[in-house]
Amino acid sequence: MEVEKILISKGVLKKVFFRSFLLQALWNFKGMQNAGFLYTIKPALDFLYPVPNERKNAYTRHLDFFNTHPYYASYIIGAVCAAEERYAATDSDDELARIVGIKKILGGPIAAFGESQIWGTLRPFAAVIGVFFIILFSKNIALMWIGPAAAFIFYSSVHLYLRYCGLEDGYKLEDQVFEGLFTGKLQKSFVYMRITAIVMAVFLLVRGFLGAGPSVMLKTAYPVVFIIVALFIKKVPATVLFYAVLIAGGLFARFCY
Amino acid sequence: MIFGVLSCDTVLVGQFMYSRPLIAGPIAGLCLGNPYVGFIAGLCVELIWVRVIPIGDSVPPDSTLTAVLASAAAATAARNLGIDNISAVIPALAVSVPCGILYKMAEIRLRASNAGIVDAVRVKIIRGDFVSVDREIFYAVIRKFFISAAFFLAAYALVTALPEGYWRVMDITRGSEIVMRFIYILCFAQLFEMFLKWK
Repeated sequence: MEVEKILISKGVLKKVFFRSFLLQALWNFKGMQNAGFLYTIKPALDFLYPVPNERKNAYTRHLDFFNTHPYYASYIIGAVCAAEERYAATDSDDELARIVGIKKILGGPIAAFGESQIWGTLRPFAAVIGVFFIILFSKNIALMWIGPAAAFIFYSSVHLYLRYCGLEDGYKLEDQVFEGLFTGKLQKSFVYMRITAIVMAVFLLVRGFLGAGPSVMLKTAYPVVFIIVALFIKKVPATVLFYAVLIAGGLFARFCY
Repeated sequence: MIFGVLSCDTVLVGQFMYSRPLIAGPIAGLCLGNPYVGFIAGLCVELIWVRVIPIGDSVPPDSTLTAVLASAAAATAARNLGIDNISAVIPALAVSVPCGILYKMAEIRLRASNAGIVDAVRVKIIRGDFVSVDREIFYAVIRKFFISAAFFLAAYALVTALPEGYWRVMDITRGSEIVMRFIYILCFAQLFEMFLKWK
């Protein structure tokens, strides 16, 4: 016999969406995003479990360890909402295991995927867009604001899309949503972002080199410094490299120019 | 106050990106009447640490504090001492970077203390207090806001109290533009490394 599912209303899902922005508010080294996850999914749990004892069990099982990428977490949150819906209707152990499984099995791979795509591609790409306009309009302070504005708009549109569609798709497709996530159009767009970023960075670097003035000393120094920095970039921490470049630049300006 | 709001965006609330140095720097500069130093400081901090990303439980240096502090300190030095913008940004960056690393340590302590709070929430839920998690999330945001605002104020007071000789250090080199170009080279090298090597 088909068990009748209690469907989470759109209003409840909207609440879950807005709460997902606080997923990392109580981030800790022990359970990581556990409290944030409970806070996010709380409206759905309150809707599905009106009896205090059931609600208590639901709350405590979502206080177990959980960590993933904060934006892609929406896919997991949506899938868990759907799984909770079924568990509330069936009370079956398999469904309970499914809820725990979605969080435990998918948290790691989604985190790795998000770190590569968001922290490793989208964020630096948005930075390149911002830097591009700042340097391009460096003679006009009012126009320089286009840089941060463009970076913010571009980044936020992708960010909000992932959060909103992630929750919706996760809820509709449950764990099947992850099948297309790693290979779809989204994945391709990140490759294009990398290529575009490299082209923009090369343009800015060449522009900076050409604008170095007539001094042969300076024109020679820039590529030399770039090669030296590139050689040490992997071995030396970014902060140490910054101070080394600062000192080298100061000495060059004082004694060689 | 503004730094408190910006700081909450880094991890706790939303991560909308307005706390990124590229945006936070000009905002801080604008507040002190010199957005130009904010643009330069923000751009440098953004790209110097572009490859430093928060993976798992790692806590990177706080680039927001570094950019905001560098912008605020540079704007103050440029206004009070009459130094040109680039010559003010370079020493401001040099002194703000360690503050960003120090703030990272404060952030680690804050996150460590959250574990005890979550344990207390679990106990409260078992006792039937179902709103305890909402309450603690709210307090966590407030706590972060005040701690970051206080840290920024202390760091700003210390940095701006540095002797005038420190801020005029670029006079010795007689070439702040060249030093800044060297920093830009480092920034672009980090960017290339990020896009060509990161998988």
